[in-house]
Amino acid sequence: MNDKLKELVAAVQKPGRYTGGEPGAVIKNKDEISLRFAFCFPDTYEIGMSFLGMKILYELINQRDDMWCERVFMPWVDMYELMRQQNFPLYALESKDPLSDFDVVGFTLQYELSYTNILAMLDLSHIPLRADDRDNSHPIVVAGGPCTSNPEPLADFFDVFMLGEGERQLLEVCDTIQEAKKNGLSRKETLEKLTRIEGIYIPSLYTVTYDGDKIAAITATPPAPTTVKKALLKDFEDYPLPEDFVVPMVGTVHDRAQIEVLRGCVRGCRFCQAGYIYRPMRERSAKLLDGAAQTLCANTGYEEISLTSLSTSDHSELETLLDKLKRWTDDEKINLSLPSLRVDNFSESLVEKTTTVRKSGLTFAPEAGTQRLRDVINKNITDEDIEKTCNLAFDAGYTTIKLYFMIGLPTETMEDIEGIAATAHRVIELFFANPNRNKNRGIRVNVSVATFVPKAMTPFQYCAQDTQQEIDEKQQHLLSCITDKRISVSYHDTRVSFIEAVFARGDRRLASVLEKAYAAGCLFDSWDEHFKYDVWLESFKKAGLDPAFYANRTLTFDETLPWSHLDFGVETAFLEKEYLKATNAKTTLPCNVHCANCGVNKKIGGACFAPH
Amino acid sequence: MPHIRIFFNKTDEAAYISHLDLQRLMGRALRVSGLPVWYTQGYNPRIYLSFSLPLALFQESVTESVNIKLAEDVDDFDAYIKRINKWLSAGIQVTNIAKPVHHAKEITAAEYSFTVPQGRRAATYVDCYNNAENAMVVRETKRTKQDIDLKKLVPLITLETDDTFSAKLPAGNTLNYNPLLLMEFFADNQLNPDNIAIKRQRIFIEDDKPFE
Repeated sequence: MNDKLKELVAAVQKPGRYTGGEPGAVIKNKDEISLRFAFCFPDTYEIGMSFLGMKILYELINQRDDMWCERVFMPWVDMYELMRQQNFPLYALESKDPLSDFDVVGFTLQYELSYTNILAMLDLSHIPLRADDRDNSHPIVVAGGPCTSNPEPLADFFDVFMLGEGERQLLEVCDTIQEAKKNGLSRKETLEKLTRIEGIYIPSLYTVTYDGDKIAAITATPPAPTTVKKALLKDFEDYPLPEDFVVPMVGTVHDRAQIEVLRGCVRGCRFCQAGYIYRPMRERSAKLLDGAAQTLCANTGYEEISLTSLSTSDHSELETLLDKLKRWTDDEKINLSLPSLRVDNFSESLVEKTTTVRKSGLTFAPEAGTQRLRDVINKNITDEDIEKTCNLAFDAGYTTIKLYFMIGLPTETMEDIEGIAATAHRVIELFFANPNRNKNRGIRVNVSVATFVPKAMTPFQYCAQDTQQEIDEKQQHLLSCITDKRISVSYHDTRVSFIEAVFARGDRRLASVLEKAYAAGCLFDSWDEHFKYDVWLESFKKAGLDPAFYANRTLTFDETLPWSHLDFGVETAFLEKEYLKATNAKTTLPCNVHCANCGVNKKIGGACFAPH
Repeated sequence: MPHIRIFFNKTDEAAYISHLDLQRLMGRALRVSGLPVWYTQGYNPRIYLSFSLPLALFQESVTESVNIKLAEDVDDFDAYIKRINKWLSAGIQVTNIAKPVHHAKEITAAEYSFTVPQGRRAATYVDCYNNAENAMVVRETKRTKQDIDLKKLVPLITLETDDTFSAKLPAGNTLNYNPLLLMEFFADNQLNPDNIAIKRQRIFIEDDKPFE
C-alpha cells in the first residue's frame, strides 16, 4: 500500500475493506501475465465478498499462469467522496493498480439498483462511460450475471455481455481478447471475434428501432448472430467446486464455506427469474460435494458450511450428503446451515441434522396469502404444508417464524391480502396448540412483504406492476387486518421496487436516465438511506421518458420485447402458455416430476432428468 | 492441557483489522494449520484465544502475542508455523510459538516507534516533547475521562533516525497509555499529528525485562 492510499483509508470507516491482503488472495508477478482481469462487484466489499460467483470465476481465471484476476468493489460513500476529491483512481485490491491498467474490466449484474454504482466505478477509473467513447487504450468492459437476461438499459455502457454460465465461456472470452491483443487487433475487430463464442452479446452490433414508444425491430449486424443463446455448463454435475476462497479479514454478510449443491430449480414459480434463467436443474452427487466441502474447509479454516442453491431441499441426495458431512464436521467443530429449504419437504431429520446454533428463527416464503394466488404464481405449497412445517419447527424449539410474502402479484385482490394476515395469525394459533412448544419463550411472527417486480424471461414478464397507489392501499389493508401484537409487518420501499421494475423491463433509451441520475448524485440505490426517488423522477423527466410505461404497462405477446433477441433456453411460447395458465390459476408440476416442455432440454440434447 | 504463546507481527494491511476481526482470523489460521487446539466446552465450542496486549486499529506491531491451549502435547511447531504463515498474508506472520514464560498480567510497558512522513523531521517532535515542562492531555477510557501529565510516567522520548522517534509507555492491565496520547500532545503544540506510522516494537515486564 502506498502512502497516499494509507492516508485515504485512515480517514474512512471500516478501512479493512480497502486494503486487500486477505488469506487466499492471489498475488502474481505482473511481468509474467498477458491478460489482466478486474472482477468488479458494484456494491460494498461486505456484500461482494459474500457472492459465490466471484469465488468460482476468480479461481477459474487464476488457475491460468498467464492470466491474473483481481477483485474490485464499490467504495462506500465516504471513501468514494474522498477518492473523487483527491482524484485517486479506483484500484484492484490485489495489485492496487488502477482499473485502466487492465485488459478486461468485468462486472457482475446482480440487481438493477446497482447500475448507478457501475457508472461510478467506471468514472472513478477514468474509463469513458459509453462504449462508443472508448478506444484501443481502454479495457474491454464486460458483464455477466442474472441481469444480462435484459441488459438493455446498460447496452450503451458495455462492450460485451456474457449470457449464461461463466464457467462455460469466460476463459474463452479471455483467450480471445489475449490473442487479439497479441495480434494488435482493433477494439472493433476484437469484439467481432468474440461473437463466435456461445452466450456472447455485443450490444453495439445490434440496432434497435422504435415505433412510437414501442420497439419496432432489433437488427443484428454480422457477424453477430440474430439471437444470442446463453452458455450452458453441460457437465455441471461433475464440474469441480472452488477449492479455496479469499477469506475476508473483516466481517462480511456471508462469511462461510459455500457449497453449491445444485443449480437451477425444478419449481417454476412464475415470478422467479432465477427459476427460469438457470434451467435446467442439475445437481452434484453427495460424494463430490462432501469431498469439496472437506477441501474447502481445510483451505479456508471456515467454521461453517452453507449448502447453497435456489432450493437445497430439492437435492435428491440431501439426507445422504448430510450424513456424510456429519461424519467429520462435528469433530472439526463445523456448523451446517441450509439457507434454502422449502416448506413442503422440510423433514424432522433435516431439522436434526442441521446444526442449529441458535434455535430461534426460521424463515419460510409462502409468497402469497391464499391458495388461489399461490396457484397463480405456481408456488406449489399448501396450507397443510405450512402447518406441518410450523409444527416441526415448534417441536424443535423454534419460537420466531419469519414469513416472506409479495404484494402486487398478478390477479391479486384484497381477499389475498387478508390471506397474508390470516396465515400469520394461524401460525400463532399453531404455536399455542402445540404441546411440545418451547414454553419459556413467546412466539414472534415477522411478516416481510416485498413488492412484486415483473422480470424478463419469466411468465410474468408481461405483467404490469401495481401502481404505487394500489400498493399503498394493499399495504394499509394488510396492516388493518393484523390484530395480534406478536405479529410484526415490514415492507420494502415501494418506490425502490418501482425503479427496479423500470430497469428490469427497460430498453436502451434508459441509458440517458441512468447517466442523468448518476450525474445528479444517485448511488447505492438499493440502500434505503441513499435512494433518491425525486432525483430519479427528475432524470426520467429530463430524458423525456415515462417510468410508468416500463413498470405499469401490460406487455402483449405480439410486441418486440427489449430482450427478444436473447435466448436463455426457455422458449417464448412456453412463457406465454405459463402466463395464460397463471391467469386461470392453473399450476404446473415441478419439472423433475413432469416435464413441462419449456424447451431448455434442446440445449442439452435430451431429457433433463432420468425417468422416475 | 498445555498452554502455548504464539508471537506474531501485525503490519501493513493487517493494521486495518480490528481486534474482533483478528480473533476470527487467528482462529481460522489455527484451523488451517492443523494444530491440535483446545476448544471451549460450551454449547457453541470455540478456540480458546487470549491476546496478551490488544493493539489499537491503524497501529502496527512486531511483538504481538496470543495464548492458546492445546488438546495434546506438540514438540515441534515449525511445520505449523510454516502452514499458518503460508496462509496468512505478509502483514500478519507468526514469528515464534513457545511456552509462555510470563503471564500477560505482568506486562508493565510497551515501546513504540513513530515514523513521520517525508518532509517532516522526527527531531522537531522529540525536541518539542522533551523540552516541555509538562504534557497535559485528556485520557479517555470507556468510563472515565481524566487530565493527565504524560511527563510524569514518560519523561523523555528518543530520537532514533531522521524520520523516526520512539517512546516507552505504560502498558498492561492496570495502566495502559495509547500512543495516540502523544499525538494529542503534538496537536496541542501545533505539530502535525496526522499520518505518523506507529509501530509497537517491544513489550516489557517489571525491571525492563522483555515479556516472553
